[in-house]
Amino acid sequence: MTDLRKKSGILYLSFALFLICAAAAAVMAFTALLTEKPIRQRQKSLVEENLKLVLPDFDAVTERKISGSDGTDSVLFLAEKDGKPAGKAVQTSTMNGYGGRIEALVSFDPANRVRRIVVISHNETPGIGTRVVERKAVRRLWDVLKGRKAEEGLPANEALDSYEGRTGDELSSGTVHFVSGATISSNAMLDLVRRAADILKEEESH
Amino acid sequence: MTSFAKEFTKGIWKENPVLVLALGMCPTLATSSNASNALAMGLATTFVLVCSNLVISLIRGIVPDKIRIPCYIVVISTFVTVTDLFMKAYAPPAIYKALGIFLPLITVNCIVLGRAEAFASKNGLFLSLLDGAGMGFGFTLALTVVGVIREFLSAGTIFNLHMQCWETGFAVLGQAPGGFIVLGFVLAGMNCLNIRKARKNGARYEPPPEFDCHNCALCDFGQTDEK
Repeated sequence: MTDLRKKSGILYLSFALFLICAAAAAVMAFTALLTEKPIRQRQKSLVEENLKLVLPDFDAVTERKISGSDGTDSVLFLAEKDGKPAGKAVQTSTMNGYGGRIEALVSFDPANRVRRIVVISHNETPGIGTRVVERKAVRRLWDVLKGRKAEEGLPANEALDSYEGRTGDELSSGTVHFVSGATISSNAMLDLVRRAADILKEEESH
Repeated sequence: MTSFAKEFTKGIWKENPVLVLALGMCPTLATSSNASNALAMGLATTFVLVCSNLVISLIRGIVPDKIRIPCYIVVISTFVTVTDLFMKAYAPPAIYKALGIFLPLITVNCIVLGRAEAFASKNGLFLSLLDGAGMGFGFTLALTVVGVIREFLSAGTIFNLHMQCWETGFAVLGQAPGGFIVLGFVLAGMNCLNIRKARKNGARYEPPPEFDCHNCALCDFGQTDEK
């Protein structure tokens, strides 16, 4: 038997590569088939989880896609509980962050005051810009050693929480909390929430 | 038996891919900013390394020498895609997002291709499995050590658990330059341990043969023992 490793005819080379690629394609196709459903489910449940964080109790939600004039896509969520409106939220993004795009979900109460903000994705500098956008639950060593349970609910963030209870017109660099050292991130966040308020206003005006 | 154990343990200390062979620096610096990411990246790479070593060892008889690199890359990228899809479906979303582009980039991680070329294509199934597992474990360990140090110093937490030593850490260590600094200290510490151990036994520490230390006088690897 000849040593296949020493073969160098173009036909055998193509055949060997074809064989390996075909096997690889089969394995990848099989995995894609296997994971397709869980991945889709997961993406859906991620949106739902975020909505649960910002909105009061609801049982049905309708979403409306809105394309902005500058090419950013936003989504308006209208939540209902027993057929009555329960809350509204806008998912939108800004490109003004220190690391580019910041995407967040902003919910509003019936009087269009900001209710709660959750940042979905961002690219801010760890330790600086993240102080503006991240809600991070801090689990402390002594709490664990003493057996204290983790706190439930949304972790606090001074900057994001300072928007709560204000209408879009009231939002300015004087009324919300700006983090020193992270002016660009703070400005971007302000821009994003204003944008969300504008989208809501526009949608409700017609 | 001892030779089997040796194939496994060499990746952990003597030929640790990050700390001795200095392979896979790019994912090391990028994903070791906190311990959980480092661990996840290490485990993902280990899985790819073990699987690709196995398959490459299996097909080493039919792969022509002339096109072996493309063949290896196809095998490796297949397993990377599989890992990526599974992590997208089942890993914690925060970790999947944090690893980002570095997950698909395992394909071109020099540790994986390096082991395929240097070991799996020349050795049997079982030895390749041990080599892959050992190298992967060593990579995970090195990454996690760097990750724990960086996370602790930059945020005061370890695996997201606040250690309550300080509230505001050294933010720079969480970023790329800090990765270089911490990695440098870990490398130095490891060499220091190796040299001490060798001195205790009355010998001189010899770095792995492919590691050319003899032209550099920065440390006493290359010096002769005249003392």
